[in-house]
Amino acid sequence: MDLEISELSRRLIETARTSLGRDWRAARRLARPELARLAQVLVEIGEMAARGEITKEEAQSLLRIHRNTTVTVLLTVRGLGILAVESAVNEGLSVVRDAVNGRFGITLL
Amino acid sequence: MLRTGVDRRVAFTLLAVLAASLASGGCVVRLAAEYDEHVDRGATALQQEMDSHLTRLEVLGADVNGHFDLHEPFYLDYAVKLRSLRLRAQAYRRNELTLQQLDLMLDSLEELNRQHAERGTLSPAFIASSRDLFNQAWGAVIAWEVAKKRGAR
Repeated sequence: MDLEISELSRRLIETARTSLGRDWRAARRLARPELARLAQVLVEIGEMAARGEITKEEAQSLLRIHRNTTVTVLLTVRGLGILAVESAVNEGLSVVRDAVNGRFGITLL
Repeated sequence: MLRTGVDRRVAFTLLAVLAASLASGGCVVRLAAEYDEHVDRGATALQQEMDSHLTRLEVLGADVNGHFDLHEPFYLDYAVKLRSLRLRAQAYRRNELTLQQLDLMLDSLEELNRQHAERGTLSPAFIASSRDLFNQAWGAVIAWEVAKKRGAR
């Protein structure tokens, strides 16, 4: 079971990393443990259904809530990537501010 | 030389916003909405309410007091609070990610409501897993809101 979780977790993280591309670097510290938890819950849902602890309908319902939670986590990851770009842009603007303002003799930036 | 995709992306965005900044006289670029304490507190309160609701149902188990008929008002009240929070978040520009997250929370709430209504009572295993998922989802909503403080992350 541990191996299943670890493999599922690895695939989930790899898929997120690939699809998020440049945004991944800014958010990986949050994304990795969150996606690992989601992988664990996914395996647990399958096991509970197999043991008869939840009905098929309950399993399907949990899978829908699980999907919604996964997307919610990925939206946060995406947001952290956007903030990383925003921060870089503002640092860039800060660097060129003096040069631009000096060149035109007025405060443009 | 621009070494990576990130460098190129930042450079392109920088040029675009530089032009916009020059035109508007602004000097700080915002690509996402500002932090809103009301959204932060509202999301935290809704996380606690859902955890409390599901913990209560877990304790009640198959007892008649866990039946949907006695808990229907919770779902109605929770949906109203969630939509109210969404309305608050909608007031900000560039807040699409939060709005999408709150839409997903509404969908999960409807799913839980539907399951409870159809089955009357919920199994302990279902309750425990859905509580974990709601807590994780609210945690992500709150983490994103707090990140909007900038500099605090």
